Amino acid sequence: MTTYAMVIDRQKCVGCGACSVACKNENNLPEGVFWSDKLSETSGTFPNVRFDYLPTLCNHCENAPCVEGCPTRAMHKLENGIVMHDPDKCIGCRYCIANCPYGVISYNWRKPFDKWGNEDVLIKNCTTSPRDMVTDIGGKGVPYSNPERGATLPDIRPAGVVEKCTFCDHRVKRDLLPYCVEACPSDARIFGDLDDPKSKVSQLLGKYKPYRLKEDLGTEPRVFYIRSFNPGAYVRSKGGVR
Amino acid sequence: MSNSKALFGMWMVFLAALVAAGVLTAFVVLSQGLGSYNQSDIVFWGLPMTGYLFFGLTAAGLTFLSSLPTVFGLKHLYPVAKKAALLAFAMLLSGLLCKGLDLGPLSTVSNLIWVAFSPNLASPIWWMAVLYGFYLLLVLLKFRKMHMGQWQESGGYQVAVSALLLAGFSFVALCLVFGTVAARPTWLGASMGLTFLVTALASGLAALILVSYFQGGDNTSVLDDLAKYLMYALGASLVLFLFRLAVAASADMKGFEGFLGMSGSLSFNLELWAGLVVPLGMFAFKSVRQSSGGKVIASFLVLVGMFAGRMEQILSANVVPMGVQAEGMPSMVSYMPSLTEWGVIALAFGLSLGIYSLAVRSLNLDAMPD
Repeated sequence: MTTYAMVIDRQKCVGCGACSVACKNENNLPEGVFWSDKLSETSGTFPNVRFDYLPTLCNHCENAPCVEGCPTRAMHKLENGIVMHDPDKCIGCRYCIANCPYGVISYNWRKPFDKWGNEDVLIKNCTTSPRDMVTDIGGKGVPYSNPERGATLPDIRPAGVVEKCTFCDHRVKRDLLPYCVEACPSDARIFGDLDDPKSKVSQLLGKYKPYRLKEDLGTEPRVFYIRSFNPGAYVRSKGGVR
Repeated sequence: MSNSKALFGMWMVFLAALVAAGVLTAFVVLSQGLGSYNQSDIVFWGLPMTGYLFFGLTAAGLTFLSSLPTVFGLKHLYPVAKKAALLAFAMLLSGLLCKGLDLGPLSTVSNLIWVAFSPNLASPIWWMAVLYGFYLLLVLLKFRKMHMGQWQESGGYQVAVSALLLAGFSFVALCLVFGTVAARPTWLGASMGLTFLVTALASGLAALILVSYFQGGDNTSVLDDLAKYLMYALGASLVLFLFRLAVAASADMKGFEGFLGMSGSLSFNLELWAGLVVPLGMFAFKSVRQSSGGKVIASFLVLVGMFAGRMEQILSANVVPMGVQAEGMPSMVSYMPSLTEWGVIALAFGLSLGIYSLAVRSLNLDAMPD
């Protein structure tokens, strides 16, 4: 058996957002939709302030409430633990959004990349229309679409269905890493098989005490976080009462 | 007589205008999707879902009321049983229409076929979809049996019992849809189900009193009984509302901020004051409760308040951004329905009232068993 999981090392994460950009390119995500996202927080009082950055994505939960609640099994689990979505079975009820405690599922309220379907040209007999540009380049919906995404999902998901991170199942099938993992410049995202004791994820989870988001809900997320960003040392002291 | 005909004609023109606006909305939604709704991944259910809850729960209350004489033997309610059955059908149809127009474009709606071919029996939404489908058919069948005068024949009785059971089961499924969402404590648990139960009865009673009054019978003893039942239902609804408020205010638990945060909103205050406190206060006086004006005003206020309450019940769990949605967002987001969303509600009201108004003229809704 294989159970894919991801470890995010927050000590290594520099908060550059390359994961989000890579994900958008790889999966042809519409405007405003992020399968790989982040939660940031500024805390403290000037000048003693701190900035925290938490990369997020679908947690591919073992007990996924989105899967349990989906009436048509459009949201389903693959044998390798990936929570997958089939837009051809989605009835758009958005009950998965209601059930997901992490807020990582998006609904396509409009037709994605609708502006690229526009046939108007800015200057007649001079510039090309967005639609012509898409047609000339051979893209699907957008000129810069990635055709590889179409191996397991529609290249661009239509209006009226939900979409979310798939751990880049189309790449994993070809023994490639999810693209956010590939693109991370500081190797803060580590992907692998949780059932293989020799995998890097298993080793890291044994070495560092991991934590997961909203563990009290019993969803058993498959995205683990280790360590936290340590901005440096401080002058040794026992504090004081005044 | 000619005055009454003219009034009826104007009423039907008004309802036709509502339906026409709704049909236009339906065309926009089915061809383009929900882009014209003012909803988002945070406020993912809004006014159309409010309409579904309002009409669906009112229909459940009406089905129960129409079963009181036919199943439970409360014979003094026979004069309103047939009206209640037809109104339940009309309201249920409108509710399901609201839900249908909350799914997406035609390409998404056509995926409903997978409810039959790829069922997930663990999903409360699956049970809700299936049970409400059968419930609609049985309510219609029940009305047909009544219309054919087969009230007390075994077939009529069995259909009435089946419709009541299906109303109960689909009501439970609807409660589970909300009550099992562990991520949103405002919906989680049995409290919302109990609230749905008493408010469904209250809105069903208010709807029945209103249509019975406008149909012509104003101050009969049946209406006095219905007003008394409505007073009890409102009392229970107010207790549960205050219970929810107390839990939200005192529980050391994240997830209730939405409910508390809505205490300044129009929907919250309409629900509390127009839907519960004022009509309950009016009905506390027997003379007001037994007067035609008192019944009509209180019932109208109850329906307005209950509609606002359904919106509060939906929004209280999704105006607070969940998880990663909170990035860059205020602690609570606002929601103002778009014209298209109001179009769905216009269609639902136009259709349900239109069906009932036409039936009043042609189907002898005052009929009773011999």
